[in-house]
Amino acid sequence: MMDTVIQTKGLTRRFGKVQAVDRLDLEVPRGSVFGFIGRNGAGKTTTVRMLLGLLPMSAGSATVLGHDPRKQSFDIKKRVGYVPETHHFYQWMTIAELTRFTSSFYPTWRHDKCAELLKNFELDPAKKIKELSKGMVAKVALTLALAHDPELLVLDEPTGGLDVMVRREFLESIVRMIQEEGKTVFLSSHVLVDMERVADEIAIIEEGRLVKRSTLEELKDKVKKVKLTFAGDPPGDVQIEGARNVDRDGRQWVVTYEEFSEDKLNALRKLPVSDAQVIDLDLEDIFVVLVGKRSEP
Amino acid sequence: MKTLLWKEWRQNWLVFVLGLLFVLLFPLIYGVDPRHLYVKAEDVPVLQYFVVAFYSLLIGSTLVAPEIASGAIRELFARPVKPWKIWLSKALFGMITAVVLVIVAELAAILIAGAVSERGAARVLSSVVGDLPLLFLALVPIVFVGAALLASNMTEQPILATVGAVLLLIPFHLYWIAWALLLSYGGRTERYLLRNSAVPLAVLTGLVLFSFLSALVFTRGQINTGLRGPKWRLAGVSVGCVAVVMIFALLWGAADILYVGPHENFEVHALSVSPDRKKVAIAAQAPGAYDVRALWILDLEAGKRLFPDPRFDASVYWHWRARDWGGAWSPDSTRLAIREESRPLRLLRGPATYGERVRLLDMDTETVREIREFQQPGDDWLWGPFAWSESGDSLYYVVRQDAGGFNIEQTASDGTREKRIPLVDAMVRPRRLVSTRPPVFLCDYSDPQPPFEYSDRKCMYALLDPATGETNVIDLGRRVEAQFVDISPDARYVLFAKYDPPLEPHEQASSTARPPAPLYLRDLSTGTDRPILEDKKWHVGTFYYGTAFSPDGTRLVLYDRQQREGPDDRVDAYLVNIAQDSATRLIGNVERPQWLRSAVWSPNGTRVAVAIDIPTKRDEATGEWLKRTELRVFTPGDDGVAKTTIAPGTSVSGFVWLSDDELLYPDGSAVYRVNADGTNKRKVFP
Repeated sequence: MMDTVIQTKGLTRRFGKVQAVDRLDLEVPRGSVFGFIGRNGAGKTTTVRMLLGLLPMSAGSATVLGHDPRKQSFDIKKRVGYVPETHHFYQWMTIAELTRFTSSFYPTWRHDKCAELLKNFELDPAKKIKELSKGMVAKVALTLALAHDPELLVLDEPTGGLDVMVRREFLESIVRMIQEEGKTVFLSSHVLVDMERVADEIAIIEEGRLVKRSTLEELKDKVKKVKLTFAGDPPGDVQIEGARNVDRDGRQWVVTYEEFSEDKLNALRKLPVSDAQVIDLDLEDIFVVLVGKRSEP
Repeated sequence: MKTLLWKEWRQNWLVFVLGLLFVLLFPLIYGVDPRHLYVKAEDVPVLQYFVVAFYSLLIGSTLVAPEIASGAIRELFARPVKPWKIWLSKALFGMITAVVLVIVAELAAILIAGAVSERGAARVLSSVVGDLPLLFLALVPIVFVGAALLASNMTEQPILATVGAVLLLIPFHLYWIAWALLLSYGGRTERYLLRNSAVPLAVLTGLVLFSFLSALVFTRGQINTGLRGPKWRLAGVSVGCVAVVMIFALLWGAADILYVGPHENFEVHALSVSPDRKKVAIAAQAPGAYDVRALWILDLEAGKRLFPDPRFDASVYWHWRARDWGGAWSPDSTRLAIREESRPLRLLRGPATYGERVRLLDMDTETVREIREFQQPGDDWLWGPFAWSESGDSLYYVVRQDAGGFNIEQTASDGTREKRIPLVDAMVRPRRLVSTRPPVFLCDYSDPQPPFEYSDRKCMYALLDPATGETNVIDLGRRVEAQFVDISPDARYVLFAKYDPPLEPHEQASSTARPPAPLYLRDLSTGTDRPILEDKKWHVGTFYYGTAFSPDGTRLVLYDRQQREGPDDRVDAYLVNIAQDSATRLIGNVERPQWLRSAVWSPNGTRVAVAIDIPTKRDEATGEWLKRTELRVFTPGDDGVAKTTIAPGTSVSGFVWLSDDELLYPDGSAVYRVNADGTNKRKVFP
């Protein structure tokens, strides 16, 4: 049996008539970097808040590190490092005051680790929060999320608003931590370039519903495009089995597969084509394929 | 929790220190009268309500709202800390701040205002400690913090939170007013309200209510859950809680009205026997709560209470002098006119600041007839006591018009108002209605003619017969001043102390500076004055208790007080024979003369009774003097005055003669009947 740190069954959250999260089933394996991607407003933050017990669920159930968020939110928060999308620290506090203040809530807080993280991030403890740049505040948030040795790190759009350099540095920090300590990371983001660099598993959510859940490699293996070049005029009434989209442009067609296989490629080659070229997709393309509109195959 | 409190302190210390400085300096800014702190409820708001409480409101408003605006509160909720701990840290900080500000404000007032004022710091402190129920008012700022904290949970703007808190406090205040109105219905006044139940209960309910709702909204509300739905449920719960508490408090207030309390809780202060000697009106009040009063009518023959249901709240005026008690029996003993404090509910008009009413109690039918109600502001004032015409057809009483001037109002025995008799002019001020035969009003009457200089004006009095409207002006002459004016029951003699030259204004104002003066009797039939005891000056001007003419007007009991500081303060009681111009000392060297009660003659004038409180020892704990009370009956005879001491007890004020040989006297909450020789003592009430 797979060791999971997060498990949801039929997780649902309604805001009035709006279904923010709709019967979401998830399993996040221990030690993985789990990418939770979706467009803005897809329900990512709502899911995260429900998982941490910050928002009651309308229906379904969830466990996080074996705790029920509805009843054991306090235990979850103790064992989880959480970096929200935006940081609202007390502006008048210095970094040292903030870390001391936050440390009082965590029995497992490690002051040595906190000091090391601040050093690694080149943060001056005497500086006030209001004097820090966005990137530095993000690093402070990550320090606070990591210093109590959490078993699970939940990052909700952690690089939002940061420039490329800071984003890379930030994510590298995460990866380094994970590699060193074997923690689980639940990374919610719509910045797919970042996700592709660090995530082991991906779950795609759209309009509150789970669209796809797979490892990144599996996803890249399955979701493919095939570029067909016809020798003459393409047949008018041909149906392509298993294709999600077929983009017809004269003698050149692009066939998109959600579940690509050699059999399907062979089937394409039986058509009067002069060339059938398989195109590997990056995560962004895959995301567009999966959440984009389906057309007639 | 320690860290959370530290955070609140670091965040708000400047506001706290500024508040501290302000309340420290407030006694100097505002003034130095410490009475503004706690003497009476209407004075308390000056400092506690409007300064500390409002400041507490501001502090409470800034506890949550700015953190909602900045998002810091959500950041905090994401940490493993119980929401109620966050709420508690904020509530504790706000409430501790409020309490510290109140304490510092009180201490500042005691030390600064108390030291500067003549009351002195020690007196102020003792009055604070001695008035525990009022100390509950110190909790009012905490209630304000609770309300502000509640409002602060619902908005991002502290100023909106302040406004919201004020809006929350308005219904709370209205509920207090409604409660106060309910409690005051029938004459209970602020002192009773504030001391006994209203302040502690209102403050505590406010504290619990706002704290509970604030905690509920904070831990379960939108700022924690981000939900829209439960907000409305919470609003429902909140409104429900407010309604339940208010209904409870109103029921409590209503129960307090209905529950009169056991009779033992009252002290009988005045008795008034009907002319036929068959009924007695018993006026009582609750010890320590002078405005909680009761009036019972007792049928002495039947041995039962009349009007068993309603509890009249008759004013016990001049309770040491039963004949001036604020009620009057009709000559046929079938009706009793009473004046009663009354502040009825006046929806849409606001509470009356003061009110009295005249009521007529019919002994035969045991019904009550309302004669006239006086409600301030914007109404006339009931000025003087009542008198019945000789036939009993009309009841007279004096009304001071709100616009100025006086009227005597005449009411028929059936309660219908017959007419108003305007007094001569605004310069006439009716002092008393004297039980002469027929009744007359004794009036101050300033000479309206020039010169107007105080020292040179004429001293005039007027006797006004309400039945005929005739006024008999008594001109006591220019450059004199009459004080202590009284009239014999047969309206033949007017007694007055003559100050010539007149008293200086400061002597008028001061009760201790008045010099001794000769006493004169003016014979109204001849217009001649003659002194009582040639060459004797009486110390009467400083003594409030009146003279007592015998029923036939031939003798007089007088008190001569030589007022001095400390234990040398003494009073003597004399029996004066008017015809013989002789005086016999009845009681000499009475210590602490404020405990000497006015003399009362028996109906046939053969005996006179005096009540005297004799101090025994001082209670070290309270500083109060313990006393023993004696009722002394003197029987003047040709060979001197015989004295009988009867009914030693704890309180004998307001005693009356039931017949020529029997007395009724109150002792504590009971009324006793005793023969004039001290025998056959028995309890008649309860």
